[in-house]
Amino acid sequence: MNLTTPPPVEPLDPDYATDVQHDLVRRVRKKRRVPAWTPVLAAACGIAVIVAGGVFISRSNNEPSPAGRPTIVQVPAGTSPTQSLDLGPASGNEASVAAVACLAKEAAAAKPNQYPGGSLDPATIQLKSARWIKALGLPGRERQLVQSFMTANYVWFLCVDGKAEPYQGVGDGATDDVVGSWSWSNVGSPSVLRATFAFRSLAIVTRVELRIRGTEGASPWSVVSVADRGGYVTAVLPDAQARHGSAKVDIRGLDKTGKVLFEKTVG
Amino acid sequence: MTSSRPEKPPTARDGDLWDALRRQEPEALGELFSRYAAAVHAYAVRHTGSYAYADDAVQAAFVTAWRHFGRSDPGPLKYDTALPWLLAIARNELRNTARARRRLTQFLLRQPAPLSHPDHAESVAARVDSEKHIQAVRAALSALPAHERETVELVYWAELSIADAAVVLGVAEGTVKARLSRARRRLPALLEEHR
Repeated sequence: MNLTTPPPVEPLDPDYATDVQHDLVRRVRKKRRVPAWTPVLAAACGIAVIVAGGVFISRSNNEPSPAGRPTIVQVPAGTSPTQSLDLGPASGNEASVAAVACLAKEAAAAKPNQYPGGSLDPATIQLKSARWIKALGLPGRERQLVQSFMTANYVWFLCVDGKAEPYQGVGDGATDDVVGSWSWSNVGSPSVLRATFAFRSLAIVTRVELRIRGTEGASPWSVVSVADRGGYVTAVLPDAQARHGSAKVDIRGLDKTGKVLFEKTVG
Repeated sequence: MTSSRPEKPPTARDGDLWDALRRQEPEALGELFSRYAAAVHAYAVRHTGSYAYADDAVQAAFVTAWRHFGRSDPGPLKYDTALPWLLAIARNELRNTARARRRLTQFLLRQPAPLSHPDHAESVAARVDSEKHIQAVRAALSALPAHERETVELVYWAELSIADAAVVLGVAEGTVKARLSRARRRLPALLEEHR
């Protein structure tokens, strides 16, 4: 065995390579293709925006539109203020206790064979990150613990206040730099709309931001730093600003220079 | 009077191809693939010891390469060839997806029944034999520190120049030479241990 000689490799199957090549070109062409009717649609949208803006401005008390559907405010991303939720790292002891509690809850709820053997054993926990963030919309709470850890067989957990959050992986074939699961609910009294987003991201993403837009206003961008390529971000908007339950949630991921790499609106 | 025709139409230099990629021309990605897919694939197979993972890594690397151009203009190509840049992307992809691969493996192991049945086609058998051989070689090489191992892979296996390997690894050429020198000193012993 000569380690300085390249081990022989079976060549790429030509048919397979051709298929992949065509598929690649088709995919990237599809992404950038501009349909012929786009200018027409853009013009129609422009008119619609002007009309909607006029209607919105003329409404004295922001009643629902004649069609019965309230209008959600349009706030340019760059004009919303930002608020950092980061409160700094948690201590090792805090992180360990919460990780064990999170794993125990997950073990109690897990289906048979959901995890490979030993993955729910707290002795195998390897802490990866643990940070405090401001608690928004949680009466009596000032902060939340967001942490990640790995156990046997490379099973990775993202836990918030000792409860595992569902997440998706990013990697091969991922089309987005940030993937995750979001939710919203009305909490507290007086009630506020609270949105959350638990995510994983590519290494290039250093912070993730989230805001809520309602019928009467928008929340600031809530900002969290990405740790161990994952995290959790929340925002709140008073119910009065999200009348009739209508709201949208904007999510975006940025790199270290502040460049937006990912943006998505849900809701 | 004699005339001659070139045997093949002239091919674009990598620099021209690079400029077409900067203009986001999809066909340029296809050309880049046809030039370097085999080299990226061979590198990925030797790096992972798996054809299946290598197939995925090749696609991911070229998609990521395209996205690089979409995000920002990288400027003109700084080297004679785009291969070192592509191998650097492939190397990052392989690193980033190592954990996902391990988790997928665990997921498959947890399934009650096999998701696929063995295929005894000759081509598959050849790949299996090749994987075994590569994994044996990688096992022998594994006694080297990771940074020396990667350097050996790029210079000896992917047959890059010292300068190109330095680009992929993001280090100075002198560092590559030093790593190779140290690896060479250790390789005879490695060969003995795994004979």
